[in-house]
Amino acid sequence: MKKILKDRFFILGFFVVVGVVIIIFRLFNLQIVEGQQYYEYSQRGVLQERIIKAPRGRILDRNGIPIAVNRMGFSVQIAYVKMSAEERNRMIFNLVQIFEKNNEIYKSLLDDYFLYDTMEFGPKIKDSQDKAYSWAKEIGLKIEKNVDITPQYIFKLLKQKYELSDEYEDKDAAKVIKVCYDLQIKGYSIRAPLTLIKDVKWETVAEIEERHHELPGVTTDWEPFREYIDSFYVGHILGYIRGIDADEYEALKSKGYGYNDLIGKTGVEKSAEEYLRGLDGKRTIEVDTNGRFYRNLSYTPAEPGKDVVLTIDLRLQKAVYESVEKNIQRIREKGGEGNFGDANAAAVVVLDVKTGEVLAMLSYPTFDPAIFLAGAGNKEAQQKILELNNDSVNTPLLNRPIQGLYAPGSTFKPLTAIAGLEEGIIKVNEIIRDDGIYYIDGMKFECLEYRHGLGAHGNLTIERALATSCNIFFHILGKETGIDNLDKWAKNFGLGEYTGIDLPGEYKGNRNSRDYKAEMFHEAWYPADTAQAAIGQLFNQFTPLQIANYVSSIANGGYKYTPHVIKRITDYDGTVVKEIEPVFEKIPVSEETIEAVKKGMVAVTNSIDGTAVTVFDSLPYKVAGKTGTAQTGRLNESDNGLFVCYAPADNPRVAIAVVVEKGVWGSNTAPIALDILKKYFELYDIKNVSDSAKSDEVVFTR
Amino acid sequence: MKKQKPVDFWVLMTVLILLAFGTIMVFSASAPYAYNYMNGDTYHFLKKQLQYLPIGLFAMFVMANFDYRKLAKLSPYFFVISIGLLVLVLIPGIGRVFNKSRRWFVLAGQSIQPSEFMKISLILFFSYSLSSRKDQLKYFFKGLLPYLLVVGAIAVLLLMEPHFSCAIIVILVSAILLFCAGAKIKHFVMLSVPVVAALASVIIFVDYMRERALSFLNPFADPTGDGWQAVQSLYAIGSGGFFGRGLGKSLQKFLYLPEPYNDFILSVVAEELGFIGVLVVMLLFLIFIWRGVKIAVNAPDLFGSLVAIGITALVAVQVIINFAVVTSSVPVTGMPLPFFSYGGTSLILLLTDVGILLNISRHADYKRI
Repeated sequence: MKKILKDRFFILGFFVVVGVVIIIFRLFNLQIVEGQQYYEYSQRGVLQERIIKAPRGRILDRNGIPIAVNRMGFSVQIAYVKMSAEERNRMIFNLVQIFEKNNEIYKSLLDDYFLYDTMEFGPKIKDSQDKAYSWAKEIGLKIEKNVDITPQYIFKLLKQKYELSDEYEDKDAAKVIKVCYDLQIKGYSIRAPLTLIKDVKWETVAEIEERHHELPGVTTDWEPFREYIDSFYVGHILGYIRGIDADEYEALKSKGYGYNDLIGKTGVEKSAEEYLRGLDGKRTIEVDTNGRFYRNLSYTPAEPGKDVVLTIDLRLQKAVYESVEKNIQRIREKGGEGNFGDANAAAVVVLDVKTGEVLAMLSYPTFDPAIFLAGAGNKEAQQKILELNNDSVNTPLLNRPIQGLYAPGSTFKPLTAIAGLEEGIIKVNEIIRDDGIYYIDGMKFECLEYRHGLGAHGNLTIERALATSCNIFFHILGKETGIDNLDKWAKNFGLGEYTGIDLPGEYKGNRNSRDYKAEMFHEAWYPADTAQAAIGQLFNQFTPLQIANYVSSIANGGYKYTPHVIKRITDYDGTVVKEIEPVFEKIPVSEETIEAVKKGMVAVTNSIDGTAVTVFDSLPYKVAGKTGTAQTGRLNESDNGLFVCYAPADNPRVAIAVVVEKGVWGSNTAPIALDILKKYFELYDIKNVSDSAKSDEVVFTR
Repeated sequence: MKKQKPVDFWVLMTVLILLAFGTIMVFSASAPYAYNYMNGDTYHFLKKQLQYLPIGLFAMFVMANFDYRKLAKLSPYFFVISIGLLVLVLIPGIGRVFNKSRRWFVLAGQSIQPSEFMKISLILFFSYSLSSRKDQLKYFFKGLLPYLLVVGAIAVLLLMEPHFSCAIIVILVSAILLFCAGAKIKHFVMLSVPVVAALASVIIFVDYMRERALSFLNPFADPTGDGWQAVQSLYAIGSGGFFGRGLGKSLQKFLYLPEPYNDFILSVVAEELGFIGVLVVMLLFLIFIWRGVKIAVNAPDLFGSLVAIGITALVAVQVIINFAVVTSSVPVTGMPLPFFSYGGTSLILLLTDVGILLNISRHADYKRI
């Protein structure tokens, strides 16, 4: 047996030896004979993995007018290339000169620590010698013992560290040092080049490419950059994108965001982030030893983000802006009792009553989100951002339609009427008498007519009471209806509740109620409070969007829609990914009640003693509205003016809420609504409303 | 109680040197890859390899002290279980698919390849069976054919995963076992005719296979596609020269070579340590093979001889094919280099096998040679 085994081992051993000999021969050939050739091949290129930035989805108005788009921009990178410090400094100096010639602003990390122009320490180490010392040590400067650490001394050490010879003037050396410092701190290699400046001018790119032999290691690459068009008019709706904050990053990392990615911070840019964001691609390229592109090896294309189509009509939005600007100026100059000429801000919401789509929504003063896209090196933009943040008088960054909280004043009266009718406190044609003065719990309430020495309104139905905005009528009606019912009906119409709009940062506001008073003031509720609540005063604080949506619900016969600014999501090729369908809730209110309140609101703008009569006379259809004037409770400050309306009165299509801060009177703000309606019906031409409808409906028309 | 003889010094030493060498190379070759794909954790693969290593060494120690003769009676059970596992892994939902192959079980977060168990089970079972039926082996139908059918069935199971390289190992190791057990040479010659014919016709008539064969013959025809691995491996080996670039200085491991810590780890050795480095690795393996054969020849019984030759062949076949693949002498197939390539199951089982070999060496009578 062993004999066979041995024989067979010899045969196998023969195969092993043959195999080993062949392999050694092959290795010898590869490594020794052709080794030099392979060595040169392998030196030729280095792999780089580059991210291809996916373009963010566009944002368009409802008619496809672009508001947020992308354009291609260039960035400049630098890759590590083997060379002496002298050669490196020469290369950087060449590059810096190109930057300067084309007015490119280079922002260095060194600016936080050392500023050559003023020869001082930067903000991070300015206040203490210790900080300056530990920073200098950390970055590897060789500080001698017992030397005063002055900016001049640090500059000398920096020159030494980065080996800048005397042929450079100090001011040139300082520029080179800034770049050297970033290369040291941020790190760069042939595989992972460092981006120096993003979004440079075309001239800069052309010159770098032309002179690339003087700039070993410097390359240019392109990526998409966000651009906003006419964003000034829709600043608050659009929002803006910026870099991810350090504290956000942890949560976003798992969703595949990189540290340098941009993300929506406010507005639609934030609420539609999941759609707008694209999927970055990747390409593996081979570069030569100067870091220059040599060939593509693999390529995964980027997937662009989805487009977001808004419900906003940009043309209408512009008209809203222009009207608000014009009318605020008019109100300031108008003068008169209680007008301090201080009207400064406004909020306007225009809703489609049949879908809940927001057709226009303005927060005035507005801002241009485009300044948030500017690079950190753009001092002008940074200054503007600072001003926007610090303007505590006008608070331009506040999105007033969803974040401004206002007492509704008399615009609340239709709600009181609804509550009274629905709870059976009053019937449609029942009369309440206004004697000019009314006492509750020993508190005296006066009618405005009475206060102005014009007597009193006398006998009023709901319709007449709304037309004249009689306070006494609603004090009495409200007191009878009770605060709990008022609270219930205000809630039914979404007042003091989140509307659920698809924009970030909506405020809830608050509603008059026993609970609210108890919680905030630890006091019981009194009938006099109810009388106040009935005319929209006391603790009622609503957003203009809530008010507009409540008017819309009256207009459409009791349907509370969830307002939205996003109409649909489409792929970059236009195919619809998601259509936002209207979402609504039927409010349990009877048709008679709605009709009665509607009549009153029609009378506001059409009966001879209506509070906003004549304003809309030029229109070929009727408008139903309600004025409101709300005290802000601050001395030497005008009251807020409110106006709500819907039109056409007999077949409502749009509902509007206008709030002008310190607008003095509600009626002052009605002309804004007029301009909006004119523009709306110019754009969405109205043929189905006949002029004849105007004369025979309301008895009180002129 | 009789004091046991020591284990074979040469086998133990070469294995330990190979392991140390291999672990260093796994770290060197995997660091850039780990940095790029494992969240910057340069040590990722080293740390995992260092977890498997003690388990493997412990298994080796246990088996070196476990009388190999007891394995003979157990081997049919091992073999049946291994076949069961190979069938089980093919069932979707039980076997997991990675890289288009269904070859893994996942147990408690660890992936396990049943094909690795098959190798040693087959060696043990064939050795056990052949040692009792060796006289039948000279007949083709009564003796050789049943073994060939079993091997064929196992190869089919492995190809269904597919696990091509393991099928090759199983076929070659079985052939060596049958050959050493005394199968007739003329039977092998007879068998080789249809096998060669089948291979040739596959290469000529199946497009995919032909392309693969052609790309092996001239990897530079498509250096960024099919020829990529081969070309990058040649760059690595070639640029190493006589003395190499120096340990840790490979350029090709920087994402050029796919998974350089695995099947192509020898390319990194060649690039960093040069012709000399590869010769040292080869020498170590030759020592191992020489001692393995020596243990086989001196084993006290035929079962021990066959197990020893099987284990030695297992290592030798993988080493030779791996060397051939990285030097682009045969078409690319995923053959790991024993003791070097990264991998948990295979390392632990390989050391278990070495443990069995060491135990046989304790019973060997060296004076007889």
